[in-house]
Amino acid sequence: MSVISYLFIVFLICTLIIYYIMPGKFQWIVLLGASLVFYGYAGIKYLLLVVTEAVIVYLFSLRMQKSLDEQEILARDADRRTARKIKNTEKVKRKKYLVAALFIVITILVIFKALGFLIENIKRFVPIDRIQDIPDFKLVAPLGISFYTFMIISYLVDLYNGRISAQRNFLKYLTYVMYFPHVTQGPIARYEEVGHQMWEHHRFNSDVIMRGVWLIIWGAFKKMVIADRISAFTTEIFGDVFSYKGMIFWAVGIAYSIQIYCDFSGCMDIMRGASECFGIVLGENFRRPYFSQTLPEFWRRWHISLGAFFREYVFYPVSTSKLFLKLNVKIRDHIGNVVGKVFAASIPILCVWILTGLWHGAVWNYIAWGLYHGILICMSTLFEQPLDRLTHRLKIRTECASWQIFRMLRTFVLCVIGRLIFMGQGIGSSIWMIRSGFTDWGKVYDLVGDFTLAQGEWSVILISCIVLLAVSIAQEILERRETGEDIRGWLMRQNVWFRWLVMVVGISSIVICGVYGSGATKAFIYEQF
Amino acid sequence: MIKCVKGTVSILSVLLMLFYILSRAGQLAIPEDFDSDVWASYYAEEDNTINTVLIGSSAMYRYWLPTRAYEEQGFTSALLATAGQDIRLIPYTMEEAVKSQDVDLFVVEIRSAITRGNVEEVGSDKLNYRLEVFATGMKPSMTKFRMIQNLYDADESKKIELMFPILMFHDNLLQYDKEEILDRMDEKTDEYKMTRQKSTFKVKKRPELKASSERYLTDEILGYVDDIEKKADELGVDVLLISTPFVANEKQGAMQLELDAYLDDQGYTYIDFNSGEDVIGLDYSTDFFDGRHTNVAGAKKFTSYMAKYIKENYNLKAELDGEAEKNWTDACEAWSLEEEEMMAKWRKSVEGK
Repeated sequence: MSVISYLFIVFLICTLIIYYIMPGKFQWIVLLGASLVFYGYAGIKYLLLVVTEAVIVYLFSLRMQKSLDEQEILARDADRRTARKIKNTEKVKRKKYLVAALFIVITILVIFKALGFLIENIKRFVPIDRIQDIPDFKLVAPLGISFYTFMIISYLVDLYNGRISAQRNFLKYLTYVMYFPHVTQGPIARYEEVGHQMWEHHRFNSDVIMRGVWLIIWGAFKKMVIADRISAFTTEIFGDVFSYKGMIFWAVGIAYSIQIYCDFSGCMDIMRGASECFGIVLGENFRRPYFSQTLPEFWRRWHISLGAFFREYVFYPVSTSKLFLKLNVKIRDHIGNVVGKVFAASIPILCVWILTGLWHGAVWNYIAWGLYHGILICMSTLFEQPLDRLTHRLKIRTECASWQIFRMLRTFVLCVIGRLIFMGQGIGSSIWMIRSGFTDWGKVYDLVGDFTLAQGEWSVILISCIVLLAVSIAQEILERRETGEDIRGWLMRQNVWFRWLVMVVGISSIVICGVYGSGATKAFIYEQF
Repeated sequence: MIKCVKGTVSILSVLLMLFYILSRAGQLAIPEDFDSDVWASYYAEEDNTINTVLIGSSAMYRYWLPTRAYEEQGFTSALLATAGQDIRLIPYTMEEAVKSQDVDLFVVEIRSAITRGNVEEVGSDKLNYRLEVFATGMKPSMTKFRMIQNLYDADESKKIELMFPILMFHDNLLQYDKEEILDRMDEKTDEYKMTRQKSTFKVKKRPELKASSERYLTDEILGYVDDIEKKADELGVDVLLISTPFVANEKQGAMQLELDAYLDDQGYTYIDFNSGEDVIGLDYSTDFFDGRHTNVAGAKKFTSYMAKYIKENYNLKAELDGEAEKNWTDACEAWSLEEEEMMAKWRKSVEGK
């Protein structure tokens, strides 16, 4: 069920009505029912797969919880040394369950997302007849598999570390995994963040609903008016890159950067808004990433929940593992302390970034894109201090707006190059786009005459982007003031008619200027990941 | 309590405002097409100034000249006719028509019953398309809602879009230029009162209709005719069923006679211009531009005859205030110039035959 369909509007309204009619202690059941319907709408077989995965993980989580309970009981009256021993013994026990559960969920993820890629590349690089006889393999991945798998992993690892207690009620656990506002495209919500909100009693509050609806409208505006309108232009060029050359690749890179941001953050806003209508606040996944002044900052503002996941469950475990610490010492011994330190710090960063690329799909372009960002982030770490010294020597006022805007533009340009790597149909086409963008400056295109978008559509894109920029700047200013207020909070303080007017203007803009209906694609870019 | 009332009032106001904006925008967004504009022209007529509404397919708007009827017999008429109009739409059209006009008489062209008898040949996709074209211009109302729900063979999303044309045609607003949009915002009546004429001709021969032993018109199809009569009774408006003259093939001829027999049997007020003697005086060798429609010369003869018939049998008289009267006088003048030009072309081609 697309979240920008009429059906979703009806579905959401019906679910909300039932949810608020239901006594508080049964409200989560409404969420579970709605989530099953929402997911089942995409295909019953996928629903069965998710539920089966959830059952397996649930059983392992109970075993892990048992171990945690035993640990607590046994260590209660024990002395410190014995307690540590008990803790270690139980941790080993839990580790077995954790590894087994992780093996199952990651294997399922790999089968659906990467097996075809692995077979294809093994066949390409290993010229053995038997291997060549392996048939090509391509499975259609269940909706949001990358997202719910990561949620399950975070649940298991947090449980292993004793940060959370296992949910003993299977249906409640299933509600967390399948909660429809986050199951298809995230945010990758950790159990400790959302679990308790789901079981709480939420009373009907029109202000809460209004805040949620505003977020839904804003998300739909970004998705339907900006992203989907730009899509006709980017699809035209990315579909046939070798027919174009020159500056147009910068234009399409910028356009795609806006498109993917509006598409993904638009979806997040719709989902978060829908969730807020139920009184459940999901974490922010985007904080105006194109205002970032460095790439590491960009990644703290873009797809925040995925970044946090990799930081928490890949970067820290890898960089603090015994194996890595030993390697670190060896590298420093061999190549010196300074370079060795940088080199050692780069390994977990590159691991995280290759995995981030792979998470989008087993495609060389995604891996190259991950590597590109990994290398840039390593370089920014490496050159951070020398650059700071240089700006100091050149007496550049780092706090002035022009310097900050320059840094934002520099980061944006680096992102645009990354988008061209990401969107190429093979590494060759990415190289072509970047090289041609830098060299063939002579070729000029007419955005209205040479492409499918009409002048009126370009005008809509331009005006909408100005609105997006204005709202983003306003939100950024509010956040920098640290008053704890956001734009919706400001709106809530305004006159009731003004609030409604904003809503009417928002809905009318989407209805009149949005891309939807017959022939329009309803898919979100991140749905495929 | 006060907060609750305030909340309800503000929500209703917002919904009304939204409904109004989107309905208006929908009227601006619908495709520029004569059939889609039928309703816009009808709604633009001053309220309660139309005596007769003529409903049907192109077999109505090709035959009828509203300005001629007004000039010759002094009553006003409006055409709610679109190409290939499905007979099932007629009761809904009647219901919508009386919302803004105090209609004295409905003249319903019934050839669409015969088209319905050939529905496999027409194809349900085409019927669906024709319904879309007809319905887009209609204002959102319960009548339109029921029409779409009952007759539109599509999924719910498409039905919602047809109910609110802005959802279906919003992209047009980005394609139209400023002048086109301003022109559409200016609600005005049609210059020629919705008639559509041609000045070419094709030599045809009046067919002789022969009955067949086979029964083509099912009870379901004949039931649609009954629905028209029932709706007219319900609305308290007279209805006159007609079959305009055309060059029917053997099967169509048989169906026409079958229809005649049924309508005669039911006692409905009905004129078939295909069977019996030619009371209009049409010249089949020059007055048709194809086998199914008259040209401008044929339309003149048909309108004169029908208008006289209506005047004699229903005693209609236009009651117009200054502005509405001027509107009709202007239309008569405009059409008269156009007709003169078309007739000249027609005469020239007939003479050169």
